[in-house]
Amino acid sequence: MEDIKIQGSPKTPTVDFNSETGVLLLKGRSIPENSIEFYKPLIDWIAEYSKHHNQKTEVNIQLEYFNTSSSKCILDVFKKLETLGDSVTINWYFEEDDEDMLEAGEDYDAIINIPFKMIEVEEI
Amino acid sequence: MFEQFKNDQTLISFHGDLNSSLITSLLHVIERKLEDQGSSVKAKKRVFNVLVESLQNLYHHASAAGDEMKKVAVAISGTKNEYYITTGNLVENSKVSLLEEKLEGVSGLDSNKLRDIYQEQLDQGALSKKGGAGLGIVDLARRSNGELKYKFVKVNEEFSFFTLKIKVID
Repeated sequence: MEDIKIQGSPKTPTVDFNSETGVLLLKGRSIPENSIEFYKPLIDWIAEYSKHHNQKTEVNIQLEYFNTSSSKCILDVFKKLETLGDSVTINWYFEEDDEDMLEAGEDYDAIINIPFKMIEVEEI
Repeated sequence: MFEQFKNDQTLISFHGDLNSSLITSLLHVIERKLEDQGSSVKAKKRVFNVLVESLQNLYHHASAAGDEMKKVAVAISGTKNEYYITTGNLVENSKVSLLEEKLEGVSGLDSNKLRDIYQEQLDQGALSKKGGAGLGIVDLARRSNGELKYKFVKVNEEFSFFTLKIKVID
């Protein structure tokens, strides 16, 4: 299947979904006015990937900012990932002192049935 | 009504029609200014997030409305670790009570309660056609520790002027 590689913009994140390695990356900012358009292809890709997914899937979320419109779409991404079973791990990155981003990760962790690893970094 | 948005500690004030690229520009400018002020990571991110959320609230509201309602006012003021984001726009009188109800619903709640409401709405709610998650006001309340101040002033039979003031501290 075709991988997804999207360059980040001031309002949308860098995306790198690689079916061969099973490593999925979302990095940067996700603050579009309407996020459905941006996230729909990503969710469709995971649906396709889930049919013949890798033994292990690693999801790296390295977001600096995201708006509430994106928050719902990101949840949908995670819900789609839940269908892969217990082969998935989510690494949730947050910048030092960015308590809000840590809490946001914990919010998803409370809803989603996939293990989250919270990783503090100096800068995203 | 729009003049009240300026004072000595104003970082940005804007009054006019709002569009998507203007939102991008305003965000870019405020990010630079916050960096120049040397504000903390937490304060910087909160102000940025609050600004994104409130500008996009205004944008979604204005794009669904007639010409009179496309004009909005925004101001960000403050120093280092205490900021105020103030927005003003016209709202149809028929929508005032619903909006007031939403704001009252989150006012005075502590951070744990706001978090519960946010998680529930995130999990249960659906996105509107415009991409609204119904989370904007709860999110703003969370980032301002429940310090949302608002006012509705009736302008005429059709509209009221809605002011929302959001305090962000480190």
